[in-house]
Amino acid sequence: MLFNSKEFLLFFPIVTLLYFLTPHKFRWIQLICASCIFYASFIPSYLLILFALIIIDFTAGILIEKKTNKKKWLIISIVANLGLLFVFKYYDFFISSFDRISGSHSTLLHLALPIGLSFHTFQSLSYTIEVYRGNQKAIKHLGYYSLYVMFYPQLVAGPIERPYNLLPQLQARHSFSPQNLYEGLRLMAWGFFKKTVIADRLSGYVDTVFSSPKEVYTENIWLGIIFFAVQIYADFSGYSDIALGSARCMGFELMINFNRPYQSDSVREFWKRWHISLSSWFKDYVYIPLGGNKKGIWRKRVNILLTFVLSGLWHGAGWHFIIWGLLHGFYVVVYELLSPAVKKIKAAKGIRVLMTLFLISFAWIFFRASSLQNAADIITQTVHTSNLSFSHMALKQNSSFQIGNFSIAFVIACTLFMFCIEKITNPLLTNMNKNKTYDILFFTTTVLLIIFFGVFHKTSFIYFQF
Amino acid sequence: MYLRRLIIVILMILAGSFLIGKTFDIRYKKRWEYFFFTKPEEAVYGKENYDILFFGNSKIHSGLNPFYIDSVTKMSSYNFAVGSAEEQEMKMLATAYLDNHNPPKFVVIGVDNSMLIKYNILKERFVYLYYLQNDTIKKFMQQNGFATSLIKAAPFLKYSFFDEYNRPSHFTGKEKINGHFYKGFFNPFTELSADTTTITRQFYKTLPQAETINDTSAAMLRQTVELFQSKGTKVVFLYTPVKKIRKGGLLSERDSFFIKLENTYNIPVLYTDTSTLFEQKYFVDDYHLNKPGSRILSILVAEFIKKLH
Repeated sequence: MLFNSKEFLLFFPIVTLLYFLTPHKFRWIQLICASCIFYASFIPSYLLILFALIIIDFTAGILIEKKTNKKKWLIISIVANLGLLFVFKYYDFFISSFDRISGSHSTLLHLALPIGLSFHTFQSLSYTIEVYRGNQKAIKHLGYYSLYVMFYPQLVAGPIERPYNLLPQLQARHSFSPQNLYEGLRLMAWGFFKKTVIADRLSGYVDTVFSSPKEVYTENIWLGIIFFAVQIYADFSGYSDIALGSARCMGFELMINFNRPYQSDSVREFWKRWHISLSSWFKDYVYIPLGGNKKGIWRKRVNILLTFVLSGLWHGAGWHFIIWGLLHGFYVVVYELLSPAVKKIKAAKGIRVLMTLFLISFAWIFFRASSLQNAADIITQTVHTSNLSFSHMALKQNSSFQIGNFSIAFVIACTLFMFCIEKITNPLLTNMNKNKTYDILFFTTTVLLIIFFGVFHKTSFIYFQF
Repeated sequence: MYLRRLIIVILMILAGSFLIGKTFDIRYKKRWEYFFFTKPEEAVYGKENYDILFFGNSKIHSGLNPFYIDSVTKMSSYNFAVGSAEEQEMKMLATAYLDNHNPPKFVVIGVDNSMLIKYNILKERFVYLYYLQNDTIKKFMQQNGFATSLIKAAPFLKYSFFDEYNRPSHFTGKEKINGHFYKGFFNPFTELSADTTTITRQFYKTLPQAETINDTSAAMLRQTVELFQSKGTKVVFLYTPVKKIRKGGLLSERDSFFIKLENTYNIPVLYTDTSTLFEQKYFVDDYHLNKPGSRILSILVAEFIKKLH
């Protein structure tokens, strides 16, 4: 079920209301049922895969804690999770890449990727690894463990939770709190605003530019790249806000996933603010186990590059995703090399922020492109000055979705509004509470913008494909 | 404290939605008054019972002028054709009209190659969301994916369905039009327009599966014919004129479909697509007539109806 669907409009209030009406000891059942309905609305049979993983990791957790063959059980858990991910997500990519090199013709699986597989496998892995490290006690209640993996607000696109944050909350008794309800709804509204008013309005423009870069003007390409940087932020952070908000209405506090990433003054800083639950996952479970910065400067650089390549691969099975990851790794390594000189220059923060934004936007080309060839076409077109006119900012796709000058001006105004609000407030918007009048005006304006200017026919979230 | 704040927010959202909704209603109606609102307005609220009705797409909309028809036939006519209309919209307007009026004596339906292709134009006709109190229109719009009950209960919600082409309408003024509307007819072209030619050619090139007939659209047309005939109305098919370079009649599958339909329902036919009267100077593009061309077509149709009468 998509957050921006009519079904969710019914689902959310019913589930939230039932949660508080259900006695505490049965709430886990109510939430599991709700999560199953939520997940089954995509492909019901994939619930079986989810259950299989839950059983494996739940058992592995208990057996790891018994300390006999704990390493073996951790490996079983890792192999089960990553194996499943490999079969569904990477098998075809690796086999077809191998075929291209060897000239052979292997049979591909062409499996549909279960929604959110990359998210819940990583969340499951985080549990068994933490139990193995002794930071988390193995949970003996299959219901609560299932809920840890399946909790509907973060089931399909994160945040990728850690067991020590979510499990105690799932077992705790949450009473109805008007403040939680208010703050949760406000955060959800903000997420819906980012998704429907900004991201989905931009998607038409971006799709057109990236699908046919040679048929549009150079200024369309430039604008398309900038718009994608805004779109992906508004789309994914919007999703996270809705997830955090809907959980908060029931009293749960999920991890903050975004913290004003485009205000970062270096790429390293960007990764502390963008998709925090994933970047911290890679730091905790890949970068540090590889040796982190403890094994010399060259090893550190290799570790950074490797972690970013894996992060790229996590996002998608394609060379353009690997290049995207590698590029970010390269940015971080080069920044490390140049940082003493950069610090001496004392460039204004604004210039460093703009520079970082430029580098990140350039890397987004590889992320958004359908292939390396497509990315190369886009990059070539950005410098194709003979195709520059400055009079064709608008794009006409088809009769139903025309992105005219009005839409462009409107979406730019909304983007500025978004960044301004996020500049003056915190990620959960809780410091809005201080001024009642501004808060009410902000909440009302946000909802009115959704009602009158939300785009509701572009449904899917970008990160659902991962 | 927070519950009270939430209640204030909800009340402000309701009040704001109502006010913005009303403002947008006025602005949107003003912007599209002639192009889109006149026809559903006439079908749902119009008081006059017409003798002759015209249905079809832009070729009929800008091709049949009730002024000449009325003068020649001494009857009263109205042009219900809408640009890019498909059979579903035609059936909806026809049913809505018959719900509120006496049946006409004649109905002229335009026939051309762009018919019987289903691309769900009603999904883009937001104008009908203003007429959901009419059960026929509500039913058709519901079938096209609009949450009609919700919109009927809270009319401002219709703006959540608007696309990027229609949204700016609230902020632009009334469109400057070169020409005048008369009983559903509008044709601003006195001479050939190069721009329109280009757009039309591209449009026709990109028509989906132009060779194949869509069964749902075919059924809709058949039902419209049956609806009028059941009320005692004489249905006439008008094969609209085409420029010489495009001559050659309908695409084969369409041709046989219409012949079968005409024979089954005993429909009189006026072929103007092969008429030598329509020289190139009467077209603004390959399919649409200019003002002098529409005058010739209107008189031809009027004479034809006069004979049938």
